[in-house]
Amino acid sequence: MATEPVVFIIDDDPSVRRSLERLLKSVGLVTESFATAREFLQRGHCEEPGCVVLDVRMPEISGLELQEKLAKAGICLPIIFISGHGTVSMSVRAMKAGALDFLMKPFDEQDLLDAIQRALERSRLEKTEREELHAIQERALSLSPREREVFSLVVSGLLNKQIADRLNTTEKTIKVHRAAVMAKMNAPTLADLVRMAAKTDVPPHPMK
Amino acid sequence: MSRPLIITLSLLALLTVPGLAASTPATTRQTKRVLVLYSLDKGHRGHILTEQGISKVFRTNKAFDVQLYTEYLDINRFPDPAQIRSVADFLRLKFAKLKIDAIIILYPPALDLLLSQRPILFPDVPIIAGEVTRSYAGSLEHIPERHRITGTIMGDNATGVLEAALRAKPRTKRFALVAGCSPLDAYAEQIFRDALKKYTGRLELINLTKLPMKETLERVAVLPPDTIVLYSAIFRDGAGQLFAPLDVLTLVSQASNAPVFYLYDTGIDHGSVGGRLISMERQGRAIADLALRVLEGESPAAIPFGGDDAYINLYDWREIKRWQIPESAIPAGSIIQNKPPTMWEQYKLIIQVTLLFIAVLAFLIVFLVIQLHRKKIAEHALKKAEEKYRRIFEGALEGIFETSLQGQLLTANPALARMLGYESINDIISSVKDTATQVWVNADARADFVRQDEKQIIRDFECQLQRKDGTIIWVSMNSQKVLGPDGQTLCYSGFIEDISERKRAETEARNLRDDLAHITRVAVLGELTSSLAHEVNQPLTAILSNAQAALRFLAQDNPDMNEISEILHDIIRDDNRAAEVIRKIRSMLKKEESSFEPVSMNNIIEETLNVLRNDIALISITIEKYLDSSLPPVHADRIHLQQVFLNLVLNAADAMKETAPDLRRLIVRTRQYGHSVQVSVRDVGSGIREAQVGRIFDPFYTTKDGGLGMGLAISRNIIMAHKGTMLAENNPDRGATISFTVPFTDRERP
Repeated sequence: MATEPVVFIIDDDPSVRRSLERLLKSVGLVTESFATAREFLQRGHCEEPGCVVLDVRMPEISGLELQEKLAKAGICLPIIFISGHGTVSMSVRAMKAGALDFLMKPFDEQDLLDAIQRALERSRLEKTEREELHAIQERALSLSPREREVFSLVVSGLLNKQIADRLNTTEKTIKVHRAAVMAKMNAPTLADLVRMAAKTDVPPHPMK
Repeated sequence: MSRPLIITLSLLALLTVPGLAASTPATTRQTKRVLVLYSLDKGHRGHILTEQGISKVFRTNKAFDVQLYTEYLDINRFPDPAQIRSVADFLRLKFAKLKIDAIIILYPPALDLLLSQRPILFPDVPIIAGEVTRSYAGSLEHIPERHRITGTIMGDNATGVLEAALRAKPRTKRFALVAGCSPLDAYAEQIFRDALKKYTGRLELINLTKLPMKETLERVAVLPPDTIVLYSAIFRDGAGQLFAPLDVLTLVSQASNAPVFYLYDTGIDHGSVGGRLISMERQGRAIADLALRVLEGESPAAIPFGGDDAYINLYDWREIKRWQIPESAIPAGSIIQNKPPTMWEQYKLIIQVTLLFIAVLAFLIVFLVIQLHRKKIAEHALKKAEEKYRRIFEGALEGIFETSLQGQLLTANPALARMLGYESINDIISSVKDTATQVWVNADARADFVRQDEKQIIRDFECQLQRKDGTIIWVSMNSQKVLGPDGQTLCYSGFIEDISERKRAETEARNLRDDLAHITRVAVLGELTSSLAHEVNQPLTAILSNAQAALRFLAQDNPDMNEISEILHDIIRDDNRAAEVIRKIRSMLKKEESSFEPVSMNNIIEETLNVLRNDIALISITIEKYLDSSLPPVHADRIHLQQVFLNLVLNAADAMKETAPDLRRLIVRTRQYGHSVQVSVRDVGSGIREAQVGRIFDPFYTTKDGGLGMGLAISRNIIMAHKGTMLAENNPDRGATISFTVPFTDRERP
């Protein structure tokens, strides 16, 4: 991979921030630290893999608020919350909103490092998935309207004959279209085609 | 020449002429020669007075000098034509070489002489005929010589004299006219007769004229009642004997049984009653004035006879009394001669001095009496006051004392004796010789008290005193110096109140307050657990992470010792930080007796806000601080004030729960307020509902769910224990402000 994953540390307490930087540095991780959520938002983000170590309680924008903002902005960096006085409700809210972990200060280094490993793994995975989805979507765009209809009906589970009836054409014609769809979508089997349809916005053809 | 110039020159002339005149030598003054011819002899009283009048006028004349030549012709006594001729010759010869500028004659006979000799005697010299009757003057109007003759008329007052007589004796029925036989007597008689015409028919006239003197005197002595004697003049009586008219007047008056009236002022002192009389002196002045006019060049022909105004209202007091004439009959403004001076006039000064003396004496007597009375009242009041003050002194519940400068007890009231456990006033006075050792418990307290002596008055000085049996009481003293007339201190006096009960109650109240404060403090800290946990967890987290990082660095091949050293320093610092938090919490949880010391209010606020920095309740609130850095320290218990401020901030935060997070603002302000620091905490929350304004400081009153309702109550209690005040009010826009004051340390108070 071209870029190293980055761990973003956001905590308003400078000593906590510095100690975390050191800890992550000691295991060879690349870190970037921010005193406030605002500073972090201002930095801007590329598609690199990474994760966020985020203090729940901070002035101005709290950790939970930042989580919402990131989600709205479509930045899907995994978040590990750390809190000095977490409550159950707070952690539930964070987890529901997609947090990867919720650690209570002071935490064991191993817990944090494990969480970071998991987060970076997920980040990498998500990146792969995002790239795969992108490819499927591009392939789907190369289909002709007729092929798109056939694709939609095929993944709905209809037989060729049924599709031919529905589209007022011959079964043979449908077979040709179906072969073109399989080829363009680079799908070895029908199961693969169905999986791709689930990932893209190609809807199953509505039953009449 | 212009008009203003003329005026100016005229004015200059006016101004300069008198100056020139003044500098003119006396030799250049014109001299006018005036010959005065008196018809009678030099002893005639009328002539004497007339001459005085003439001289007075001429003497004071400024325009020119008048050289007077005076001749008494005595024609009355020497009436023969040969005698008169010789007099004329004498005059002609005597004044042959003198130029006479004017001749004044008095009484008609002299003029008759001049006119009879006119071609040779003083032809063409202007003549001023004085003291002639109106009818005589009338006779002159038609003679050729009138062109050089003018004069004054005399005797028109006869009517005035008659009226005065009738006023004096209103019941008069008749007049008795007394006159003589000479021509002059005839002139005078005619004057009365002219005036009497008016009364013809109304009043009877008794004619006593031309009688021999003897008969005249006999007749006037037996006049019927209600008669008035009118005396014109007798130069010569019916027997041909010559008289001086005034002497006759005296005789007639003495003989008469009725009041006598005469036309001339000369008759006063000679038996005439008075009336509107001719003043001979004024006649003289009128004649001289007329002569001056003629001498100045006025033509005598152009001057009518006049000067008939030389009258005065004159009376003889003796005659008034003699004839019992009422004073009301005397016209106002009349001169009354021979009036014996009244007591007042005679002894005016003595009377005035005496009256003044009496007045002063009377005033003094009144003054002394009033003073005496006042003194009596004052003494009475003093006695009353003394009784009153004695009652107060003896009945007072406070002890009252006087002590000498050396500390000996001089005065005490029963209450003081009781308070200090002595049997009586005598007991305490004789026992206590030195208050410092026998009464005061604490030498420092006494020293403090004596130091305050510089102040004139010591108020509410609280200290402990020792009773006779050695037990100790708390008292409050009010004392002042008693100053002597020169300002030196004589002794101390004052009141002592036994406040042992109050002190006990205060101690109990303080203990109770401390307990309550502690309970609420613990409760508040309970609420702040999460915040405090965070405060401790932050450094712990940093320490742990740092330590673990350090271990990993050490496990590396070439550990960066600088980095490890930095880590260790950070660990020490974070450890101290955690310890500090723990110390703070412990100090707030500790239950201690309140201890007052000078503390900085701003400092307390900063510390408390620091503790709250991360509290969940405050996390979304913007806190604005306006702290006056110049404030002096306050006399306070640090922990208690922290608690109060913490309470106010938490309440404010609670009040803003419903406020939109962006708007949540909390303003903390400190400022000087009199001799106190005022702290105010202002929020933009829901405010205090009207109905709650009066109650929010009540214990167990709460608007919060799950609130104990002790926060504000204990806060206010604490502030009151600091001698401060606490106030809650709604802001004009939104939210509420709660403020409190705490006085400066004693040192900062004036």
